Amino acid sequence: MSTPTYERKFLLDLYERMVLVREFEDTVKFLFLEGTMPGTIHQCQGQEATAVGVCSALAPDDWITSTFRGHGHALAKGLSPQELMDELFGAETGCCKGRGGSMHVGNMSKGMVPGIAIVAGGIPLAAGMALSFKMENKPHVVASFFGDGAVAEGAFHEGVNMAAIWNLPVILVCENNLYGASTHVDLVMKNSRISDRAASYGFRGETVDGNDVLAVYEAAQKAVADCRAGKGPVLLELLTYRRTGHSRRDPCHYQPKDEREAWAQRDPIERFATKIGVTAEEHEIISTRVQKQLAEAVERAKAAPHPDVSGLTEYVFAEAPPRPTALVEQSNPVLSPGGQTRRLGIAEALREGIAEEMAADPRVFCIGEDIGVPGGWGGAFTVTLGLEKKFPDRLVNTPIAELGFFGLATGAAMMGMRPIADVQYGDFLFLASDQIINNAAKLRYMSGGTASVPLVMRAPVGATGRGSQHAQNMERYFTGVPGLKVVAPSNAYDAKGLLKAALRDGNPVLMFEHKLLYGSKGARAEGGAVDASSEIPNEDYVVPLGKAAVRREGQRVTVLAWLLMVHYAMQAAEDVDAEVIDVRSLSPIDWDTIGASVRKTGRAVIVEEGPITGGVGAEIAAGIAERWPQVRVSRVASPDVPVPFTPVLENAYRPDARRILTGVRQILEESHG
Amino acid sequence: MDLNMKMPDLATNEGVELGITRWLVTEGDAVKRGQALLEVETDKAVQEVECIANGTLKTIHVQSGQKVAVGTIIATIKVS
Repeated sequence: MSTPTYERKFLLDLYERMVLVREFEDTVKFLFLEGTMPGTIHQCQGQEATAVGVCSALAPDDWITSTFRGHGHALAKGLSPQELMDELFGAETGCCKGRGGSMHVGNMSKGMVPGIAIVAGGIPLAAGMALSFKMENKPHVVASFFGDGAVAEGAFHEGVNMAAIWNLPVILVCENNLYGASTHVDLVMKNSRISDRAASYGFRGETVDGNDVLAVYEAAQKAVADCRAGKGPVLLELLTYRRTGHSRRDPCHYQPKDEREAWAQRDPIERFATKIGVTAEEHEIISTRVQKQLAEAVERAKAAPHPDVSGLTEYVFAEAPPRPTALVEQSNPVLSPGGQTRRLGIAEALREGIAEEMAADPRVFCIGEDIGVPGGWGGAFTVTLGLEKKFPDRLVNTPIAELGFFGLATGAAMMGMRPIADVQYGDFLFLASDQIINNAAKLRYMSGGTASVPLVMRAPVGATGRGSQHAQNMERYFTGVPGLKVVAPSNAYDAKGLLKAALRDGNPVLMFEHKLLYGSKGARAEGGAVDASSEIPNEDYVVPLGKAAVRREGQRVTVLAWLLMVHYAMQAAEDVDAEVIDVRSLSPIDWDTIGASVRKTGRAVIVEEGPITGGVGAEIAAGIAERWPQVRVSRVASPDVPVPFTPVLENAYRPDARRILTGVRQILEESHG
Repeated sequence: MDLNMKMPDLATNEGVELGITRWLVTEGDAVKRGQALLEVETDKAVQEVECIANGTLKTIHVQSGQKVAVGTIIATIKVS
């Protein structure tokens, strides 16, 4: 139909790109059979037209997200066979310096985020990238590749829904190859026409012959045009077939022989060769060129240098370009001579900090549930109250979709924005944890240090009369996640200073805040609240990440606490000459400050709100025992039960000044005895 | 050039020996990359092993019915 309208060179380029993908995959397959290639592979023989058709419709500065089956996407987007082959061999010269591997190939300078190997995990990410383009008025689009299996994931629903609400420039590319691993689509969906789903979200979906590269190209071109015109997203369901196993040891016995043969008749490369009449001579030239390129790539990749073992811990965090600040505190609050202060609670101080950073840096925006609704609450604890009046386009109110909007925030951060994502209650972080732990925290490493995720996350925690699912202390689950920094301020000065430091850090930082410490007012005030207000300097300041603070000096015992427990520890300390350290930074832990204290006192009591087993306190105890074995360590924490509702049990669950004092006296008596 | 073909790592459990159930070609046959050369019984299933190069099957080193470890040379192909 449309063949005559294309130049011969364009058609032959499409053909050559598909041949390159096929030959690359076959070459890799035989390297596995030979036993020379490490790891596992997920290949795309038979699906070449989807990758090549879509990527040919994109500009070089458009973006794609991919999956564990990403070699074809990478080659189609313009990554070289050499950088891919090197990556597959685990070489330092690979596109992700050998840190990513087959499932995470990508190249940030060529518009491809490292492959996201969690099914559907790239969809919210792509929506977030698109959100950043929209917010910054950039013309780019994102094509997000995923398989039919992804459609059953919550991340698909949440990401797609938000892309729809905000008309984001995302092309949702579903490569429907009929099988999620070994399970046929008909077994896992009632309506297996995937493009139908677009209508339920209110946008356009289309089913396309995914083995016809020109049909794919034309559908993608139209989708790109829609997205650039502000009429995104578009869902393209590309019907195709995987001619190889799901992964390297899969003999595909679940694919019926007649089905395989029928699809073999519709091979995208052979069909296209026939359609455009590739001559024997043209084929010979292309085939020889591709073979030569791949033979050289294999030859070089086999000899390519591997990372030095001394580099094992490189690329976990980005070194952020520092933004100048007037005041940087070293351990405790500082004020320049003659500087003015006001007394603010944590909620007010955070609000002020967010507003100042948004005013100073147009890349900063807030994303979360109920955060900027006129007449609403300003988030569950009033932190963002009224900010929508000042920054109407930068308070992004989301659906109730934690996995989705943490993914969007991660994607936007990767594109250079500085999002602040918050949950109403820390407990909901479990929903978002795939995006936080598998994407935000790991993308810098998996990309070999080329991507960064300057994302700030905020989460209220603490037992406050809400029972088991709105009250957990979540610190334990996120402390010790490589690539993630964790802070937990106990007062307003720290809250504002740490928030500012986090926004300027250039890495994912998760801030836990305690519900009893916010000082929230009006309808959102908490019963049993503790005053955590501080004198806040009028001038700009930060509290550096990774630093603990000595709140009270003492000689006989060190009490280590954070959040609410700092306040109770201070009450207990008065009677016993205890030194109280506000740990404040849970990841990384400030061993210098802790060490100086415990070496002096010889005793450490670690106080934690939350179950004793496997808590952050256990990590601190182990760290002290390893470094200073002469120090006696004990813990005061909650028992191993979910947070109870009834006040009498909740009060018994949460450590208080009396229990802390008992713990401190015990360690003092033991060491005397 | 002669190219040695090794028993591929098809087992899902480490250290399992794989048995050759039958050869689908005989010595001296012309072979093509991707062509099924033999059937192997893994701990999971019986599956075919494809040829890794175009040429002639020069020697079969491990006969049907034998079990060998992953990485053992099972055939030599004279590459064309």
